Amino acid sequence: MSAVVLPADLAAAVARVARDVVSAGPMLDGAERRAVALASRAPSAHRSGSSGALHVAAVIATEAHTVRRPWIDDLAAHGINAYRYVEIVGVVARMRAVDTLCFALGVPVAELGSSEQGAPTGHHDERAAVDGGFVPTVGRAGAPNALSALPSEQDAMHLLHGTLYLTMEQMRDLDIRRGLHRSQMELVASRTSWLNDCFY
Amino acid sequence: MLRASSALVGPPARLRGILDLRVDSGVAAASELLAFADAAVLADPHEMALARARLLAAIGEPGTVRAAACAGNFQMMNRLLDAIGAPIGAAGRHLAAELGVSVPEHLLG
Repeated sequence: MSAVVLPADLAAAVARVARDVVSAGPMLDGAERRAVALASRAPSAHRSGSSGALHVAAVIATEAHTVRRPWIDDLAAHGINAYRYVEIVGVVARMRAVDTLCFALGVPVAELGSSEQGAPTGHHDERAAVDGGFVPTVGRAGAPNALSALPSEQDAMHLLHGTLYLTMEQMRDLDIRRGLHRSQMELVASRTSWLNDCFY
Repeated sequence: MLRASSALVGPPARLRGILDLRVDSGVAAASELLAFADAAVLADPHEMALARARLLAAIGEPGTVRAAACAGNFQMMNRLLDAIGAPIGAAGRHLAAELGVSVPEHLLG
């Protein structure tokens, strides 16, 4: 029942996420992102009796399937516009990915360092608009462009997706083997989605 | 993608096996992979250790590592897609009907 050694590419991915979530992003500064990341690890402390970014982080971490458009719209009253929301979603989702990886393999989750100084970049894609989903996206809302309103978040998601699972190009190969055959990867993916009450 | 990819190495997977552990999906090491995914997503440390040991014995370390990475990736993607309300397309609706599950109205797009 011993832990598994994390391969170098996956260890680098975990370290990259840990660095990224304490650095300034497009709409949140490093301290805000760090707080969101930590809230994703202790969601029960923020599920009720709070509002704002940490509450959003807790909801996304534990019950994203319950999210509806009116709830997102109401977040504006707590200073969370659609872009800030998208950034929170991106940070929580990546944290959940790498923390699950570590937990599953029996290795410690990454410690988050102190937040880095610096203001948010403010960079977002001017082309983003609500198209089928709850938040602005560049093109119709779907998996490849889920975070496309914020290019840096979008790029970070794709980088992690390609390291953990498959790149967009590799996804075309239904016979690919990467430790597992594609069918085995899809079985794990499907079961994970089922357990998360996710229909995608 | 599960059905199509499994058909390249054997009979097409029985998709009901994703939802119902009594149904053999036909995918190699399915029982061990499903138990591993369950423990990872439900974050049960005791079950995780047992499931990891079983999967390591069944398919070895590279496969176990990739299973963990896949579970992590879909923990991410599930949250992204639910949080942005990405609509379910026709293929997803057809699959849901085949599996006997209802797609929430707000995702029908």
